[in-house]
Amino acid sequence: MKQAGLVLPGLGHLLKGDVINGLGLMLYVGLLVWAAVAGFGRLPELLFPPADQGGFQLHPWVALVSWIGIAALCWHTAFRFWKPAPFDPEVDKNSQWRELKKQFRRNRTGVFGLHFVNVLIFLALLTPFIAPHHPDVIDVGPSLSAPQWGHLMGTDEFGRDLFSRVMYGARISLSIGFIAVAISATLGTLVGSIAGFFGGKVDSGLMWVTDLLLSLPRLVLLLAIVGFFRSAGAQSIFLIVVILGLTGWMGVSRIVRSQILSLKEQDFVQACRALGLPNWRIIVVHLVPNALAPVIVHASLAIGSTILVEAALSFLGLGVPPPTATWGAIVNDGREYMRSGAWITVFPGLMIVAAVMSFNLLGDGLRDALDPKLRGRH
Amino acid sequence: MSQPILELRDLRTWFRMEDGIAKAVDGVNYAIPSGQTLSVVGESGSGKSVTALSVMGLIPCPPGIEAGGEILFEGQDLRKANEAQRRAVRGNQIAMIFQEPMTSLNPVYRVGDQIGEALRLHKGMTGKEAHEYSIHMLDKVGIPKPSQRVDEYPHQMSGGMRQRVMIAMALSCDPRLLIADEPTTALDVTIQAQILELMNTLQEDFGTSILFITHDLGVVAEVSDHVAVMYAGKVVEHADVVTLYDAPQHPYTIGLFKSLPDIESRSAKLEVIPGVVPSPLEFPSGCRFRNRCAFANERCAAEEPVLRSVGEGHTVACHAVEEGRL
Repeated sequence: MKQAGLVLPGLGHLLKGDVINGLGLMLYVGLLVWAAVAGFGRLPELLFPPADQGGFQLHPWVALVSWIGIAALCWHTAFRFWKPAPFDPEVDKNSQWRELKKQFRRNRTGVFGLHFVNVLIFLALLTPFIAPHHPDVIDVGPSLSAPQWGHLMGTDEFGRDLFSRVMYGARISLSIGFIAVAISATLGTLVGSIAGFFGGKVDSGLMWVTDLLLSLPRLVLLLAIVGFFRSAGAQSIFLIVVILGLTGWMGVSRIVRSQILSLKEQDFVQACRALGLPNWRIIVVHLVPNALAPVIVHASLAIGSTILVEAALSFLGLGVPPPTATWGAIVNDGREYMRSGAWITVFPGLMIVAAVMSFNLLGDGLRDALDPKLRGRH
Repeated sequence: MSQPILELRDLRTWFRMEDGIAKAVDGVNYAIPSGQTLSVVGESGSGKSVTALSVMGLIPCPPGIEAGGEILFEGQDLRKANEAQRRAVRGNQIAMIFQEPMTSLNPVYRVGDQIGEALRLHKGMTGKEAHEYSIHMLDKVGIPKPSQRVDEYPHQMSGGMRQRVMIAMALSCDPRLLIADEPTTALDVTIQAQILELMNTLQEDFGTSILFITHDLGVVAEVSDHVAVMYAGKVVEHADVVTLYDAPQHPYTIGLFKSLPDIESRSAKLEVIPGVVPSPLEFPSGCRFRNRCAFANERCAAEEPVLRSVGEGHTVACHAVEEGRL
C-alpha cells in the first residue's frame, strides 16, 4: 500500500493512517499541479520577457527551480516512506537532529503547523506561476469587483487583481519575517553570549542596553525610527527589514545570556580551556550550539509576531512603500472600502492570521520537542 | 638529576573575597622529575587543585590574584608568559584531566570531534587526519571498537568510558606533563583500578610526567614516585612514596595515615584528626596546623616552620620534628 505514494505522494501515508502527513503531501502536490496548469503555458514569456516589459527577471527562474525542488521533495518523501533509508549507525547514531525529528513527529499540532508553514513558503516561491497578473498593474479587471472566477479574491479600487497582490504579498511578508528574525536572532545570540561569557562590566553594560530597549514599546520605537528615515528621504523594504531586525533581538539576548551563564560553569568549558582553546572558539563552537534550542523556538514564534508588526506598520502607512504589496499594506488599502469592498481587507487579513497561527503552532511543537520536560504529554 | 619538567618556586595564588583575601595557595614549592609521577595529597581546601589550575593558568582573575612565585615548565616561567603563550602550552605540552567525566565532555559533539579539536588546533591536522588519530587514541586508552565509538556522543558512554575519552583527549597532543585532578574520585572502585593501571601503562608508553592530585592515599600508593602533602596552602611534607609510607614525619601526615581504615586491626572507631582545615581567610599565626596538632608549643605559634631536609629527598616543615619532640 505504501507504493501508492509513488503515484500520488501522500496517498501511501493516507492509506497507512498517517492523515496529517498524507494530506500535507497531497496539498503540496496540489500546489504543484496548480502552478503547472496556471503557469506553464506562460512559461516562455515569464522566463524570457520582452525587453519592453522590463527584460530579464530573477523570480520566475527561482519559481521554476522551486517547482522542480518541491516535486523532488514530495516524491522523495513518498519513496522513503515506502523504502526507509537503511539505518547506518556509523553516520547518524542518535544525533541530536534525529532525536529532535523523532520527538517533533509525535506532536500532531506541531506537524500541522509545519505543513501550513511549508504551504505558505511554497506558495510564495511559486507565486509567479500561480498569480495570474502582475501585482502592481492596474485595470486588469473592473474596479472593486467582488470575488469571481478570474479574480479569485476580487479587485481593488484601481482594478488590480487582489489574488495576485496577496500572493506576491506573501513573498514580501514572509521574507521580511524570515530575514528580520535571522538578523535579530544572530544579533541577540551575539550580545547574549558575549554578556553571559565575559560577565562583569561587559555583562552589566550590554544588559543595561537590552533592558533599556525592552522598556520602550516596540511599535512606538519603530514608528519613530521609520518616521526619521522617511523624513530623511529613505524608504525601502530593506530599511524596514533591518529596522525590524535591529529592534527584535533583546528577547533572544536575554535567553542566550541565561543559557550561557549556566553552561559556562560546566566542566567541559574548563576542559576546553585546558586544551588551550581561545575564548571566541569556546563561545562559538562549544557554548552557542548548547544554547541554541530555546533560540530556535523563540525564532519560530518571532517570525509570526514580526509578520504582525510589519502588517501593523504597513497598515499605519509607515511600512513598505506603495505600490509594493504586503499583507498589511493591502489591509490598509482596503480600509476606506470596508462597506463596499470588504474582500480587500478580509483576504490579506486571513492570510496574516493563517501565517501567524501556523508559525506559532510550529514554534510550540519545536518547544515541546526540544524540552525534555514537556515530552510525552501529547 | 636532569632538569625537572615542572618546578614550582614559592607559588602564591590568592583570591579576593568579600571579607578579605583568601590565600588558597601560599608559598608552594615542589618539582616533578621528568618522566615521573608526583602525587599531591591533602584535604579539601588545602589548595591542591588551585595549584594545578595555577600551573595551567586557568585561575580566573579577578577574583584570583597571581600573588607571586615562579612556575618553571622546562625552565620557562609560565607566570611571566602572556595569554597567547600560555594557550600554546595548554593542551599541547601540559594537558589536564578532570574529576567529573560525566560533565567534562561537550554533550553536543561526537567524542571523536572533541579529541580531534586539540589536534587540529595544536598540530595543524586536517579533519580526516584528526579523525584517524582519534580512533588510534581511543584504541590506546582501551576503548573497544574505537572506529565505532569515535562517532558516538558522550551520553552514550559510561563514566569510566568517558574518563578514558578524557585521557585520550589529554594525551592526543603528546604532552610533556599531564595534570590529573582527582581523575578517579567519581568512578567506582573497579573502574578506578582500571583507569589507574591505564595511566601507568600510558606513562611508560608516552614518557609523560604526571602531576596527580588526590585525597585518596590508596591511589597515591598505586601511581606515584613522589608525594607532596599539602595543608592550608602549603607543602608540609615531601618525600618519595616508599619513604613517606614507611616513615611519615609530619604530625599531619601521620594523622592522615592513622585515619585510614585498617582492614586487619578492626578497631571499633576510626582515628580522626581533630578540628577542620582553617579558613584561608584567617590562618593561625606560625604553623598553620598547630590548632589541630598534639605537639604544638609556643614556638609553633610564633614562628612559621619551613621545609627542612630530614633524609634523602625527604623534607618536612615542622618544629616538633626538627626538635625531636615527636
